Amino acid sequence: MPTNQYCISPAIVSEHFDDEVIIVNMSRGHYYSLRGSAAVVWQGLEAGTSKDGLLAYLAGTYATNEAELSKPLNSFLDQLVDEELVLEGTPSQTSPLPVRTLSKPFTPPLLEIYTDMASLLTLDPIHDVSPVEGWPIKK
Amino acid sequence: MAHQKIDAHQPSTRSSGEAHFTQLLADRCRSFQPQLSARSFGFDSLSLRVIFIGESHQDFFTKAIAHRASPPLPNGLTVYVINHKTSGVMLPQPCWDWQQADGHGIIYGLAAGYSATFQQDTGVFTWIAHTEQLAFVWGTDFATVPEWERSFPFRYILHKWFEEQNRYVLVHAGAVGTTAGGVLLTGRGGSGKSTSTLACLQSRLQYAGDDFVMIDLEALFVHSLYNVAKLEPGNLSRFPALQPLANEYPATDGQKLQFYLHQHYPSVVTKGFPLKAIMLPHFTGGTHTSLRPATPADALKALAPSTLALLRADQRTFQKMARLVHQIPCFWLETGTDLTQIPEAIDSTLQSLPTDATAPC
Repeated sequence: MPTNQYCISPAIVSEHFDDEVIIVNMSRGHYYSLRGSAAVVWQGLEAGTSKDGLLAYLAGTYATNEAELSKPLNSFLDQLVDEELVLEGTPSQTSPLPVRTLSKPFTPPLLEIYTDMASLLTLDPIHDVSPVEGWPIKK
Repeated sequence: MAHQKIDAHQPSTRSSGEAHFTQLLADRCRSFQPQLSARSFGFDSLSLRVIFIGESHQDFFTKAIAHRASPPLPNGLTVYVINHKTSGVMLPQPCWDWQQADGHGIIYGLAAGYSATFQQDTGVFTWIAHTEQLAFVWGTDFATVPEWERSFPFRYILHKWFEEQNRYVLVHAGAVGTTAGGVLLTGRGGSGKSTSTLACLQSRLQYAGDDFVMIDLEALFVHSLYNVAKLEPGNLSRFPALQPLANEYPATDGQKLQFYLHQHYPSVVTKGFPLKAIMLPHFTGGTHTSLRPATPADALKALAPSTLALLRADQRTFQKMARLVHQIPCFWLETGTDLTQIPEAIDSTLQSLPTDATAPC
């Protein structure tokens, strides 16, 4: 059965601007920009809105038929899951979304991904610890 | 393997292990002979009192912050720098499981008020006990620590100390300005942040850093941390002011040249200035330099990722940076090959800003 609900990953931090959301995923070392309809969807996800609710919210915001929105929304949500920005599951809390109508035409939500930070976050776990002193052995 | 999860490493409530570890290590340092006199450095509200245990290449830890030397203040943070090879002082048994450490050596799950990291590649362990106002930097042999580490001594300590305070944040940025005000220069790798900063060395704009600086978010003030200028060897010919110093600071393989500006050009280095704007360098390939408005989101994208990655910082630092970019004007600094135009463009923009510039971007 397809997932209908999502919660925001605890591994990310985000900030809202006028028409853009910046997200940093420290686990993966990527950061992201969401503009336009992508920012609208993110706002909905933060409010704990289900997929059906997001569809209705987008349709209201852009005065567009839900049938036109379903495919791009599904694709975008899949991408958010793949990037571990949201997790499939029940959100811990929900809140009402502001009612708004945008005069701009709907364009499919786009996740802009920046990967230049990833090399700084390459993990190298501690392997060898001295059994006597209890400290890692210098490599 | 433990990965860093921003909200997944809540401090435990136990503290006896961490307090005992701190006490044992402090006792070992205090009983070491001979005790050398402490050296003190001031970073706005923080007074750092540094005591070396064993012959520790003091310059390695103090040259980059020499311009911050100051008389000691009460209630400062005492930092013991322990060279195991020359002192024989060993660390007590750890009171945590190494499974609590991530791949960068950050140790999670310590009791509130304690922070620690173990750098596997250098063998340097750093411990901060906030309540006891003690910190320790322990190394197996500081003589083997890479040269570039000397350009940002105590960075982790400063970051962790100020991380809990809403007022201050360390950011990955250059900064230049005058007593009347200055700018942060920040951007992704290769954007020209260092070039733009160093291009100001022979202008009236003073140098507060080209790597990390500290921001007072309430006073909107930049505090210089390190007086080091770093430069790719291939770019040396573009900076006449640094060429005479190049022989003194030969580059190690694949590393940037380092110049200790306070030693050679003390008047060039400033302890700080009011922060008036954020500028995002972008090399155009043309000759001229110009500015155009940037959005707060542009500034956050330039500032946050590398700051978070290099400091292994969490959401508190992100939120402080987000707060900062909403408070001051932001510009794209479109730089060209004529480096003299860079300080001129920055200076003229600074002078065009209101003296209490807090306008939104």
